[in-house]
Amino acid sequence: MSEDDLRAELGADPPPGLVAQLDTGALEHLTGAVRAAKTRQREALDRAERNAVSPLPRLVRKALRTVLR
Amino acid sequence: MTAALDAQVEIIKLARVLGTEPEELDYLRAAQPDDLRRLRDQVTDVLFDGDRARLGGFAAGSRVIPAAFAATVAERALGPVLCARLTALVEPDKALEIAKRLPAPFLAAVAVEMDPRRAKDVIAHVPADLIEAVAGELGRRGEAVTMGRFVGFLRDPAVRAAMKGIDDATLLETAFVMEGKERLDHIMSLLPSKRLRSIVVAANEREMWPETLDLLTSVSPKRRAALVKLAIDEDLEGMLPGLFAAVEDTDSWKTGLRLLTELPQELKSQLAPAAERLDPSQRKHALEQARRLGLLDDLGPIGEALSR
Repeated sequence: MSEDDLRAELGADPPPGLVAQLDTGALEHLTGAVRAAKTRQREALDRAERNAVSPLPRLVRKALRTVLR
Repeated sequence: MTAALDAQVEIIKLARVLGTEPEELDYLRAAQPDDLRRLRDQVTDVLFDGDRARLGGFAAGSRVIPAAFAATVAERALGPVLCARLTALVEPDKALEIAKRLPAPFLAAVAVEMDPRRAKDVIAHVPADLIEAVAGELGRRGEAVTMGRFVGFLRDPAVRAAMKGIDDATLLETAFVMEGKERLDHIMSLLPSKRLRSIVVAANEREMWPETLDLLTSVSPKRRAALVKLAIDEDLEGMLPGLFAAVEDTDSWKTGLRLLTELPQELKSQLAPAAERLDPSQRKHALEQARRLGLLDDLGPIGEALSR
């Protein structure tokens, strides 16, 4: 993984001074940590959304999801 | 704060945002604190802004339902993760009305998941009694990092209430990781002297030396002298060796010794016996550092004690 991968995960240029002092292994770990955090965040929101509408009947649930999105 | 402590704190906060342990990010120890802060902001932004559009429907829904009903839905159906994201998208007045109807444990769970920068208009108006209850809950959960992120958005009465809600060790931990350290001196001025005394005692009992060193470097010379005086009055023998150990660990001799040089002469004299009782190797090392940095004379009686 390279600086480009970290940039892609952040959606912005990472601080240049920071990147310059990281070796490949560290850069790889950091990029992986950001990616994992984003995945966890997405899953947590998916779960919360599912829980929020789960008490409703299935048809209403589907319609509500469409409206909310 | 010293650069090493600053970096240490930033790593703790970045690890929190990434949902990992600070030790996992040890390779960032040599990084500049400002770079780490910027990276943390970037990670927070990408986590929080990514789902903004997706949550618009929920936020719009909150506008048309009464606050009492919204609070019930928030607690029973949406849960803390979703509510934390929605707080930034709902009208501040409405969010506040909903928050007032929610129990402190739930609000604490929401706070953990929230980026306070995105909800500052709501946070600034939360009643002090509710802040105290939520802070107490966060303290019990060991959420100093969360509280440290919020302090900068609270007004004085709310800060007072929050500090009332947490114990001394949690308060020190929160001060250590708080955003906007430039406000710390003022925040300490809000505490009664009895509480300051108990914080100093707690720092000694729990050996919270990095936190104490950071506190001493972050407050004004006048408040620093008052805190040192409290430690001397309490006869806290472990304080000086503990602080010297923290200084050594963080390679902050210049900052640490300069703090001592800035103390009033009377306090230097009172600290000298403790300096003389330091472990011989620690005393020798402190003396070498004081000489190297040209601070020995300015240390006065403390320097003389180190030389004996």
